[in-house]
Amino acid sequence: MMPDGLEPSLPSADFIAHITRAQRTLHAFILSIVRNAADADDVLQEANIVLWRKLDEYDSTREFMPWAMRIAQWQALALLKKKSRLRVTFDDELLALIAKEAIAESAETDPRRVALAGCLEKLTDWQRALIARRYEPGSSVNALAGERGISPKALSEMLRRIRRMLLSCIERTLAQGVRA
Amino acid sequence: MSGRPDELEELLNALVDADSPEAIEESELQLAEILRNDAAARRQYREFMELHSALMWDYAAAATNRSEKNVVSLEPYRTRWRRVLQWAAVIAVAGLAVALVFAGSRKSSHREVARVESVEGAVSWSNDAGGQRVGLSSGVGLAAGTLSVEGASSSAQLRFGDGTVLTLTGDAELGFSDDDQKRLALRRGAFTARVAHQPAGRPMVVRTNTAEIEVLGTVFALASEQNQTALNVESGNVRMRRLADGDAVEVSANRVAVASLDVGAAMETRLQSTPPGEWRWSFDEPPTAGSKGQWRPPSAGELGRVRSLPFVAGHSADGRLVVHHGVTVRAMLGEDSGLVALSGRSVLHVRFRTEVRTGLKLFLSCEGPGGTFGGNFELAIEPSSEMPDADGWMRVDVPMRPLHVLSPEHPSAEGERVRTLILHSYERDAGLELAEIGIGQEK
Repeated sequence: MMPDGLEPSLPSADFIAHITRAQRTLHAFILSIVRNAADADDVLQEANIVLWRKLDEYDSTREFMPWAMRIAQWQALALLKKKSRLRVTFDDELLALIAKEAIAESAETDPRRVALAGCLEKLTDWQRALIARRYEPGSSVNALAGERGISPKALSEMLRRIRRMLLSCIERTLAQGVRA
Repeated sequence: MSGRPDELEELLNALVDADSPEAIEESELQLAEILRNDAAARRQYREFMELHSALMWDYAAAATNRSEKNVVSLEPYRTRWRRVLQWAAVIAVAGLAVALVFAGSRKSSHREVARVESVEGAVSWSNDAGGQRVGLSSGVGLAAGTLSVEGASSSAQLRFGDGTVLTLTGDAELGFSDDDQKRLALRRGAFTARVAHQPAGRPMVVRTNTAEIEVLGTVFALASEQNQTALNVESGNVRMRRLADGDAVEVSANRVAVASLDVGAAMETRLQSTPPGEWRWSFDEPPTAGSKGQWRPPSAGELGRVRSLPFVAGHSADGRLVVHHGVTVRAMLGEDSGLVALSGRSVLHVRFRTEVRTGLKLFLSCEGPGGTFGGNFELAIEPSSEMPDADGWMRVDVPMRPLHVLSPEHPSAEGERVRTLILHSYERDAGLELAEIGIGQEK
């Protein structure tokens, strides 16, 4: 038996391919709204369920990603409202602006991710190890700093430099791609 | 763009790295002010969050690149989790995702990953979820967590399901987990490991303050202090990476490497040293780092000496801490030869004085030739019938046989290298002062 609200309409192979390919973009988009990794994970799962429920509303002649992002946006805002975080810092208007611009430029995200893969290879071993450790589930800067016997501030500075290197590398890679 | 570019970058990094809700909210407030009226800043924010998200998905790719070079492969934990999540996108379709994703991961945090093989002294276990067990005994199963060994004379042996055995000696703290890949964090102290062959792509990874090592299957000893880590390999190969700059070296059998914060020198290995057959220290100069006691320099006819300090020797059956008073002498980290090699003809020479006439004990922690744990031993020094000199000093020479064996799996000290010595009185403070100690050969 299917859970409540999950009508067993059979998804097309295209729909499943769309929803699978969209996961990373949706996660990044949701993260920019909720600003918290655990919340973004939760919202992504909720959004996936809603996308499935709204399968019949999807117009296959239109782009999938903007439609999915709008649904993810609602889910993200619903979570923020539930957590009463909406008005504390990022207000409705700002979040709407962020979401609108992200949806308009959603086509840019895939090339950036491809570029990132090459840029990660350019990091030194210890930089990759640090990033790997930082992005493990449950990792925190304080805990990592403690492990390494350095201050959290010093560790944050290391991470800041690595992220700056990666962002610069992505820009250079995309610029070279355009020139080529 | 309004505001300094650096300010925006700092706020973005603070937003994702801050650990306290207050710090996050402070970053968000400042960030919101900038983003409201600045399209370029919003773009930078979006690109930064894309990177942050992508690294959550791709953190394993960062590590996997290294495995291609046969350097490291960290567990693709996040990737696996993400893969499940990705499937959840489709399974959301069936409405089962959340339960599937979380059911497994929650169970794993309580799963037994290692068993206590043997214990000497004060050994306890704890984990992040508030779990704690003190006074551990042999046969106890442990979930992932932190094992703490208190006191230079304490030790503990852990056995993992695949037969890998770790032996912690002296004051040591080791975090451990085994969720398809063994991950250890040696926060202080030393351990030796006999590592069963690890699955391809999932080496055992050990981190210290200054180094990270990867092991596929070998025997080695690792000791860590705040500023350096020493690795001594008995068999197989271990890769050691210095965290300060990422420089790495392969350490093969019978070789030693040290990773410190000094990035001026290249990481290199050297052959294990041969230990001397005789050794003697006096205390006109301060004792080496790692030694313990209150040093008193020579003055006006008084010898340089070290006065005893209290140390935790273990727990009694009722859980009470057992405290002895003694002087600890330890070979320097990276001195792989230890202090001296023991033989059947070894003799202890010691010059000491006490405020009361009492017997003493000498505790010895030894290593095998490859730096691995060689057993703990004890020698009783009975109260001498000889009179002390005018300043109260006594000089005694005690044949080191028979030694009382404290680690049954290491029944003989012959050929072992002494890493740590503790000369101590029993539970009372006898005001022990040590002016000279050495181990020689019977003539």
